Amino acid sequence: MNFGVLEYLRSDELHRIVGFTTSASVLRRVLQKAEGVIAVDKAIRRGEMTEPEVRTFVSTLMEAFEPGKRLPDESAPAALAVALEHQPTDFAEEYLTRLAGLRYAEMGIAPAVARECLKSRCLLPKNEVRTARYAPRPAPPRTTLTPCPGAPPNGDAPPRVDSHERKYAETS
Amino acid sequence: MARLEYFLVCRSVSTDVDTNEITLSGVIEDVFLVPDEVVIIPKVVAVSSWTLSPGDLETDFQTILVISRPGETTGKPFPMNLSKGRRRYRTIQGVLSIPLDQPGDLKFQVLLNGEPQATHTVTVHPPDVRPREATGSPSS
Repeated sequence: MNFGVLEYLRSDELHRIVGFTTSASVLRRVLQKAEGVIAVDKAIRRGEMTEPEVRTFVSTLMEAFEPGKRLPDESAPAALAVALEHQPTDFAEEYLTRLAGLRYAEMGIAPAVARECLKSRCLLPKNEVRTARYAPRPAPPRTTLTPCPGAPPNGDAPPRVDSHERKYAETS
Repeated sequence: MARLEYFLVCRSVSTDVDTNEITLSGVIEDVFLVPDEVVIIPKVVAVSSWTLSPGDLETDFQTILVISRPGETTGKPFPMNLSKGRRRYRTIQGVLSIPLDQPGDLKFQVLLNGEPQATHTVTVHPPDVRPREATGSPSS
C-alpha cells in the first residue's frame, strides 16, 4: 500500500538525514528541517492526508515490531511526531501522548522525540471551542391534520383491506 | 493560577491552520433596537486567552461565560472546562441567537473557577439612537 507523502518517513532519504543521531532534541530539530517531514505536516493540515490514512500508516509501521529486536523504521514514528507537533487536532494530541508514553527497549528514540514535541507543544495555545444557543430552540408548532372535504369522519372510515385479502375475497 | 491575557466578544473568529494565528473580526460594541421588535444577535463569539503557570499543568480549570441582558440581575452561564497539559489556552465560545428587547448594558463576563476575571460590555441603544446610515448591524 502506498501512503503518498508519508512514504518519505520510511525512505532511505530520511534514514540518511537522521544518520546516527542519538539525542532526541537534536533529532527533533533535524527532522523539523527535513523537507519530507514539512510536506507531511502540510498534507495533513490541508486535508490531503486524512487521519485514517495516518492511522493505517502507523499500524503498518508497528507490524514490524518484534520483541527483543530494535524497530527497523524507528525514525518514521519520530518524524511523524515532529510533523504532528503543532497540529491543533485531537489525533495529534493522542498520537504524541501515546508515543511519548511508550517504554520499550526496542523503541528508544521515537518516544523521546515525542516527549520533546509535547514539551514544545505545551507552550503553544490550545483552542477550546464550543458553541451553544442562548435559549433552547422553541419546539415546532404541532400540526393538526385536517380531513379532506367530503371525507367521512375518522370513526366512519372503511376498514383497511390488504391486497391479498381482497384477492382471496374475489376468488372465493 | 491561570492568568487572563485578553477577553473580547466579536461576531466571528478564524484560525490559520498553518500558524494557529487567530483573527477576531467584528468586535461588538453597540447594538441598536428596532421599534416593536425583539432584536436577535444571531451569533457572538467570546474569546479568552489564558496562560497557566508551570505548576498548574495538572490543575482543573473551568471558565464560565456569563451573559446578562439589559434589565437582568442574574446572567445566563455557559461553562467550559479547560483540558489539562497545556500552558496556554484560547477558549472560543460561540453563543447563538441572543434576544434583546430593551436598551441598556449587555454584559459578557468571564469567570475562572467562579472568580470574575473580565467583562465586555455592549451598549444596547433604543431605536431612536440608531444611526441613519447604520447598515449590517448585528441585529437580524
